[in-house]
Amino acid sequence: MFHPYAMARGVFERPLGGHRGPIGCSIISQEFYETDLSRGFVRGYSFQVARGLSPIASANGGSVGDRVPWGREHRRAYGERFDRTITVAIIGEDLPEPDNRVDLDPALTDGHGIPAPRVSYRLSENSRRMLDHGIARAREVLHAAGAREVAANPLLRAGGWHLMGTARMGRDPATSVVDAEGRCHDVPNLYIVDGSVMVTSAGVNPTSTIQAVALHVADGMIRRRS
Amino acid sequence: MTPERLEAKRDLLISVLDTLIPADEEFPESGALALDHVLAIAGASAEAGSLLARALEAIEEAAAGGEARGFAGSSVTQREELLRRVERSHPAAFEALVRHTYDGFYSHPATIARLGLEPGPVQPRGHRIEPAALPDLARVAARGPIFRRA
Repeated sequence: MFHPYAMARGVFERPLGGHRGPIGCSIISQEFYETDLSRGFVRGYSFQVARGLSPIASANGGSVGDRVPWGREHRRAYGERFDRTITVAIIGEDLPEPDNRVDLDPALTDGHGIPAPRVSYRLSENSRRMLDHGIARAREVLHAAGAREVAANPLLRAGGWHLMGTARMGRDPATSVVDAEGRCHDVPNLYIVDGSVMVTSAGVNPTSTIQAVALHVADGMIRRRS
Repeated sequence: MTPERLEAKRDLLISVLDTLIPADEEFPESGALALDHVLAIAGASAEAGSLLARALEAIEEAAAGGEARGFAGSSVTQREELLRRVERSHPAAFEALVRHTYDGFYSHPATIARLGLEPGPVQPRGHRIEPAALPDLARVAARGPIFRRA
């Protein structure tokens, strides 16, 4: 699993000052985070409203990638975009899929002949519907806020690569790899403490959750030692 | 064509950059502001240098096949038409040329200042954000939690 990311960017008539301030998430909404089957998919996503584009990103199109045209149209087009954008990111909750996995590459090896890991990922139909729903809502939000145009990137290839899953946590050894305290069901005294124990990806960046799980596992280690 | 040859074609490169981002009332052409960045990138990265050199080579070839005045001596319309042909025939190399030109132009302190920003590191100066009234969140607060209970 990873975090499929889509992005919608509105362009407004007036300067917004959005290129000032931190680059991260300014506003978060989890209005569509929980499952509502009437939407056509399970689980949901977070909206992350980001600040405006920097001078360079304004020219090159940022994550949407629609570069300002070069030539005599350039200055006018750039002036209509710089300092006039709001970006809404949609970060979806990915589910485990049989085809999405990490295995050993049959051909690629390192300098010692050890096979390299191979990451296989294909966006699931559930995640595709989730992102499409998010893009449609983001368009509504941006237009309601006064955007004169909205452009979208349906899937950021360079974003959201938070690798999670493949060693899920659970009580049943038949359906999980580690127990509730990170211990492998099948290998004594082997702990797994990272994003691979997550059961779904959640619709938020995973670091805080991974840290909390790590502290929980560490507490269990200490308790068993004493 | 190596990055050194790119440097040797400086005059042509300046003309190309000026065509990509022409001057207006407030901003100079990009040849004056982006040139050093484009040359630095070509020298720092063999891949970027190769792409940029290929783009310039294609422009030079296309210009040689046209009127005797060459690229710099052509009208703005002719230069843009020629560049559009190269953009179609050498998309990867031309994309690199445009991207590095934009990067160089819009990271130059003179451009930053003209955009109304202060060049240089933001910290410790920080940003001046005008105070604004908070939106009315009473309706949202009244709805209560919408997340799933664990």
